Amino acid sequence: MSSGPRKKALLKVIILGDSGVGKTSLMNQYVNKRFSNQYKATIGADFLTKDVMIDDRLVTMQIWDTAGQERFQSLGVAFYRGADCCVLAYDVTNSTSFKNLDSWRDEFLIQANPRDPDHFPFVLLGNKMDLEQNRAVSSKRAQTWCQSKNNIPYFEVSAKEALNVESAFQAIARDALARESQDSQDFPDFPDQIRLDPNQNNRQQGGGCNC
Amino acid sequence: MSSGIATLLSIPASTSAPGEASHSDLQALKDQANMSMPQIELPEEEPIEESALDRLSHYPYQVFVLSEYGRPIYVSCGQEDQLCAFFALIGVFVNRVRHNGDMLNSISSKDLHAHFLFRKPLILCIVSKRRDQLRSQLEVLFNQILSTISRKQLETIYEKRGDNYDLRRLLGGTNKYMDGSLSSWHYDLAQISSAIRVLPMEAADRNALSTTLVNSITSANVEGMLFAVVLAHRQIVCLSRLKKHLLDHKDLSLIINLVSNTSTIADAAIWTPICLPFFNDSGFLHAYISSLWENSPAHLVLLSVDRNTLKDLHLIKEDFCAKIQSSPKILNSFEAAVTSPQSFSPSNIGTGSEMLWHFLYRNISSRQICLSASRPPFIGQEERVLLTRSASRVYDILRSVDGIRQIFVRNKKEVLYVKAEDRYELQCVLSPFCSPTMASILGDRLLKALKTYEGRYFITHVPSF
Ligand SMILES: Nc1nc2c(ncn2[C@@H]2O[C@H](COP(=O)(O)OP(=O)(O)O)[C@@H](O)[C@H]2O)c(=O)[nH]1
Ligand SMILES: [Mg+2]
Repeated sequence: MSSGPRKKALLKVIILGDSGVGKTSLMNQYVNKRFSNQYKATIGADFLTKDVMIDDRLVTMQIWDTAGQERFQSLGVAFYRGADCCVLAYDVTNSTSFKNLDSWRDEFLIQANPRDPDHFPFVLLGNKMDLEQNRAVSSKRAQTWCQSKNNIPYFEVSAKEALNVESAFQAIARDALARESQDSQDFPDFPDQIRLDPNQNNRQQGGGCNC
Repeated sequence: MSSGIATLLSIPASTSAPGEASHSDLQALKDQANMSMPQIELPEEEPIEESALDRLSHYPYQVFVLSEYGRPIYVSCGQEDQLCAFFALIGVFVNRVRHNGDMLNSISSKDLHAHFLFRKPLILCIVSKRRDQLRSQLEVLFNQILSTISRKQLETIYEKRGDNYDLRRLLGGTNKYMDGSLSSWHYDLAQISSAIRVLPMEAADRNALSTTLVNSITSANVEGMLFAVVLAHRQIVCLSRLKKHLLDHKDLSLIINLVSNTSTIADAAIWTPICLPFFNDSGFLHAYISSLWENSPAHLVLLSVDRNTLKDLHLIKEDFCAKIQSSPKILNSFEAAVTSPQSFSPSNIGTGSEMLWHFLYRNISSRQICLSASRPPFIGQEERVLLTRSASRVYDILRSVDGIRQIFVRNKKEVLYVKAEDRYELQCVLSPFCSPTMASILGDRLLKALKTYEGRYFITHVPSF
């Protein structure tokens, strides 16, 4: 057994937040460089994948999107589990979507049950920054919230105007990758020697043709 | 029923040039697939997944292994990286059904069949143009994975390392064994019948060989020495074991897979940990594998529980080799059996034998099979492939429909006769002019002849030390 050449990393990224904050738009903007004004309720789970270069490493980002709490319950824990990063998104023009961030974060931690919840990588995106005139949540307020959660990185973005989206997702990938390489010890402890119990295995081995 | 099996076997009109029954069935399929499928250079904006999925449709089958939460681990065509989304989709299918308290087993369309096997923390999936033995293929592949990572390690690794752990880091370098496990279903009747094949050899010669092996083991007296296997061409020559310990045929077939997919044994002995899940699924044995003489297709496998016994096992092998080299009788019979194996010839059954073209006998309790020597019309590679497929479908039917005792199918070019009893299963391919009564008479004659030559074609005694 040898770990061989380094495999291309796959990062499972979950994007959570209230319905309407622009999660699907962000994902589409990032992956397809497209923006559709049509509101499209997502059915269950949806994901898009995109290959990106992070420094000198090729990485596949797989971004999982939902449509509001009630619906993605149908997929259960499998949706959250195995995530490398969780992106929380809110709408800077909608303060309720900001207030709900706590419950999204808790929901994620309960369902995903990560190994080290205090240091699990979250990223906060404040979307719709193109609608500055309607802003309801100040940058300051968002940053304070992030600091209180172990310094979650914060980005203000616009899926519509493609502002900051690329760099936010790059940062997400870089952060998740950094964690991956911290986990270097790959081989589990070699198990203890098998103890031969003469009674463990005494089925009769039938011989021959028996016909 | 009959409509389902009427097409079990159909011999092509042309019988191609005589050729060794070979492993190249799958290779041919692969080559075919490769030919029409040059490496695609993906343009920047093109969604990668689509081209990768296109690529899949060229294959007769594809097998996927992923973590419970959709992370790619293995795909039989390679480059699992390009199929992340497809893996995730398989995970969503399985998990969605599981979330509803149920289990997704299979999805079938007219000409494509998908089978799913959930073995926490892994999901295995096969998509195939054929429908037979899909589940068995996944189960055997799972055993293959367990032979690298014990069940105990597998069950705890995600707890220790997190659900996002990339299991490829532990399985690195073992893809060829997974490939080998899957491809064996396309040429090896032992795999298809979930049994092992014994290399034909006179009983006295086989006993002499296994006695010599036991002597070498006993005189070395190595603490922890457990099993010894001599094999050639994926067939068992002889076995021996530590008293009160038995080697399951499924574990034996993992050993066969290991040996036949390790190309370096010809140059040097191999020393590797291996978990034999039917012996003990939480620990490892340590296998010493070596060929028995230069360029020999025969290999000796010694298994010990102690990982510090490499030198001792090497000495056992040296001693065993020295002993057979010094006994011309043992050496000659052994070499002859290995270099020109004499399979059971239908002429052994006397009159009517010209009607019996091919048979596969499987003993249910010993899990040993006996195959007829190849004879026209089953000598070309194409015909061997058809036989293999037919056998696979017969087993599929025998396993999925209870209580079938006999099957008689008359095709245009041959007759297929199957007899299943509690102790054995017999599949015969006969001349198209054979009547059901005649098939049954020939079958009985064959069974009698097999009994007479039992010691030659089966291992009836496994000496212990
Ligand atoms: N002005 C503006 N509208 C946006 C932006 N992102 C999304 N939207 C709109 O917000 C609505 C909800 O977006 P959607 O992506 O479906 O949200 P989701 O429910 O979180 O997936 C749609 O009408 C989008 O067009 C943005 O950055 N700026
Ligand atoms: Mg949406």
